[in-house]
Amino acid sequence: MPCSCHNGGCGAPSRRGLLKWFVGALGGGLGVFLGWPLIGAIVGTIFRIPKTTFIKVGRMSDFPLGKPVQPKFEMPQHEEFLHGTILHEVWVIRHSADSATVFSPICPHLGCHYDWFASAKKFICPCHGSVFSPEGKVLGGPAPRGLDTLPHKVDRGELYVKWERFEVGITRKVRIG
Amino acid sequence: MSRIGEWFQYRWPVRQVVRWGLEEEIPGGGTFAYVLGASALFAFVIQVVTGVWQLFFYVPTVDHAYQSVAYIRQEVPYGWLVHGLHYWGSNFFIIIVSLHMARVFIWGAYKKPRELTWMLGVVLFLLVLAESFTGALLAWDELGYWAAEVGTSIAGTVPVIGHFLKMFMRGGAAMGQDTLSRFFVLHVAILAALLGAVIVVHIVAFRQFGSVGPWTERRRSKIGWFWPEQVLRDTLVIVALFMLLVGLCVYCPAPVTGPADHLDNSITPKPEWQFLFLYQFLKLFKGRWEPVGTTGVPLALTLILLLLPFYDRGRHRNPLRRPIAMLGGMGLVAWLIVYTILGYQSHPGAATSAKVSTAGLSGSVKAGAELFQKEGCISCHTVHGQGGNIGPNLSNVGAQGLSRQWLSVQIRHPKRHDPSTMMPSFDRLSDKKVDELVDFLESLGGKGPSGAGSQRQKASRRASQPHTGDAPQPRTQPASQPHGDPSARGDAQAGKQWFDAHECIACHTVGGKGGKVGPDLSDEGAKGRSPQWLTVQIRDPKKHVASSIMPSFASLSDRTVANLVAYLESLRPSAASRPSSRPAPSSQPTTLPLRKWPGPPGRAAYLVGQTSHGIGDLGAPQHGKLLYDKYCQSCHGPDGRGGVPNAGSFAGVVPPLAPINPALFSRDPLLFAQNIDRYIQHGSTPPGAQPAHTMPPWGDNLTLSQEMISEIEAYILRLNGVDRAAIRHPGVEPETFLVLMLAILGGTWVLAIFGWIAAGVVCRGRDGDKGAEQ
Repeated sequence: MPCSCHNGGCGAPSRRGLLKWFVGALGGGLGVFLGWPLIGAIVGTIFRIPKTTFIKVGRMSDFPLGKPVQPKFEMPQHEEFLHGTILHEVWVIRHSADSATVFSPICPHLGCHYDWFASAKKFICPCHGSVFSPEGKVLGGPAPRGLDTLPHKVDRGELYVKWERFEVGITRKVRIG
Repeated sequence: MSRIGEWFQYRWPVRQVVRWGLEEEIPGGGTFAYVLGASALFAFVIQVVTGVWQLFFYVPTVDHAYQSVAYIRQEVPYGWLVHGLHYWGSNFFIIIVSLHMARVFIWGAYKKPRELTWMLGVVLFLLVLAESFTGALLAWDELGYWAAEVGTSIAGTVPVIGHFLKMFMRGGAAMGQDTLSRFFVLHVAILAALLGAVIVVHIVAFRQFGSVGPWTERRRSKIGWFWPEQVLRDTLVIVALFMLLVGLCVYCPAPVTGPADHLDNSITPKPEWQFLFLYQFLKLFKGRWEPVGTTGVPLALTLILLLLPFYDRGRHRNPLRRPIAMLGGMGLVAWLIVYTILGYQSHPGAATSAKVSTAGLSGSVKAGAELFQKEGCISCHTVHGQGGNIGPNLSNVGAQGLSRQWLSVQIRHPKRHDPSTMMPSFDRLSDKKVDELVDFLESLGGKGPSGAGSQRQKASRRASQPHTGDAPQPRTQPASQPHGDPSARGDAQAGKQWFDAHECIACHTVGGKGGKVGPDLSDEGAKGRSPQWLTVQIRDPKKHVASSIMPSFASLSDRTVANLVAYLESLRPSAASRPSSRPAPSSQPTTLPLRKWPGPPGRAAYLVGQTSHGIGDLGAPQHGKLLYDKYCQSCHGPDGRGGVPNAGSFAGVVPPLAPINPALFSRDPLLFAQNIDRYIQHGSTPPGAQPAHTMPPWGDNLTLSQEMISEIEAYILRLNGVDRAAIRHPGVEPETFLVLMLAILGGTWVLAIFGWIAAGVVCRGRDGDKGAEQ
């Protein structure tokens, strides 16, 4: 029976009602202060965006002019409690000695790794058939935006790239990692 | 004993609980139709027992999860069985629960007052699906990894909360350690505990009103007992099920799909069979309708099942008197089956290397065929068995009655025909080119791959062997001969005299005599080494193995070396000790004198040095073949048969991988993989003046990830008849175990059935008598 003291009609059984209310309030408080850290622990880690630095990918002179290539590079990885290195790859199209376009290899539709089809001169994603031009524009398929470019710089003939991840499936390019 | 029993009974009502569990009246008597609930409970128990057992060995971290599962499968005694039971048990769990639901539906057992039992059952079904989804990731293999990647991505398309949901499931933006930890805790603790708890509630709710029985009043009047009438039937089915599960573990072990690799796009992510219907159905919802498919459809299906007792409130339970409900149910099942099959058959993917055959074509049709290739149409469309299947198959398009006008619009502005099409527009093509393409398409009139087919195959075979333009050089003709003239045949007898009289015999054993410092040379001639290799080994052994302790015999005359080589080549093991087909592979694992002494070439020497992460991984040969064809085939030939010329090397050709150099071969898969791993990781330069091809350091130069290397190694092992996934420590050999089980358990099972039938004959007429069946 809920306590009706607030309405001014406080009757005889209100003592038991009050005790019940206390038990409920204490139990609820216990739940809040136990649940808060528990939920905080598993939700709090997921929106961390790691700081990125430029990582050397390769010598510019090793990349052909105007033809997409997919170099792999190793970079330090600090994933939770695992500290080591991880292999990543990017698509590089070199335009001149010191300019290039660098695409993230992740399809902006649902996150598959797309491929370059030299015969068609297009990037095609094997998962859902999104098609992109060499400039990264969507030519067909379900991809909501063009290929994501990655920040990069050329220093003394070496190409450096910042490895970043973007939310897939949306029209805007939003960094999430 | 009974006093102890009384002591407990006084303090905890054992008897009443057991009686509550067993003494249940079944209207209409026990029947095999009712075994599904108990079977589902059994499947749950199997999953719990085998699941907990695996926790003795399993490690939920991304760097060790896969290896620990491989360890369970290969190294832990009976691990093959326990892991297999968990794998097959999970599939059976879903099937049994589905059948159980279908049974309850047909019997109308969800109707008042059993609504809650039904709804709890639907919750259990969803929990089982969730367990199978989370469990698949734990092995951290290609299949589980990509299925979870797709699954969480689909969750990401849920309106409003999708982004949070996906991030929450993954524990971050990308799949990684957090994802594995979360799925692990869900799988082994949270979902498993929920499943157990809801099962208890489900059974209590069921016992509140008991079994619903047959739908005709007359048959309901006969009363049977749960114990032991129904329990015997349950046990018979459960034991049969168990024997079937063990049989599957023995003959169809869980697939090996290779370690998860986030860089790998050679695998087309596809969910497991139980989610295929949804995956296939989602394809109907494109663009802004996608959330309808990803959220609306699963939600609607769940609600249809969950709320069944509330919208189907008719009092009839006889299926014949519930035509609408039965048709609806059958429609749902048919839809599930059709979409599962469609999903199973769909292999979305673009074809990277498909070729359009232009053989036998001329004029504009040929030009169109070339354009079809050049513009990349073939990557998405199949023509006569070649090409991708993202777009429709066009092998018959000329016979479909499409006008030229329609076809050219489809090429230029595909969205005019279908606004949701994913085909890119080819508006930039000239009128002439579009005409040529249409000519080609119109020529595709169901003629099929006639004579052109075989030519095309030949052409593609030629294309896959880039070095065979000039005739392959035979092995025995080296391109350069820096050490005299090895083609001059030496005198084996003279070689033997020199060998026995000089230093060789001090270190090397031949035919049981000689030193043990160097390798036994008794079967040197059967190792398939070229005379050039042997010559170099004698004159400059450090060229083959830099750390070799064998002295150099550079000062010997060409004649003497030729004699020695001839002698070494003549050394063959006696016929009795030779294995039939393979050239002298070592049948037992080579022992490794690691670090202490580098050892002679051809044996342990290859094993010294840094090993890599990749060798611990159990690769998948079928996946390794894809990678082999892409990275290795151009030099080592199709299927590792070799024969590709390598001018400037002593051997003259790139060494074949099947059969592989016997020095690298071992029947022990781990050892074999280790032996070839060093070459793939760090590369090698074949002996010779200026070899045209050298083996690149695939691992060191980061061209291949460690996961890819393990896949390729598994494929090379398979080419040599060695199964990378072979069980190394089975406990009892799987087949022996199966035979023992069938003899003892299967025998008892058959005996029980006969005894039961016989007892039924004897006791007929005493229906419902509990004692009759005992």
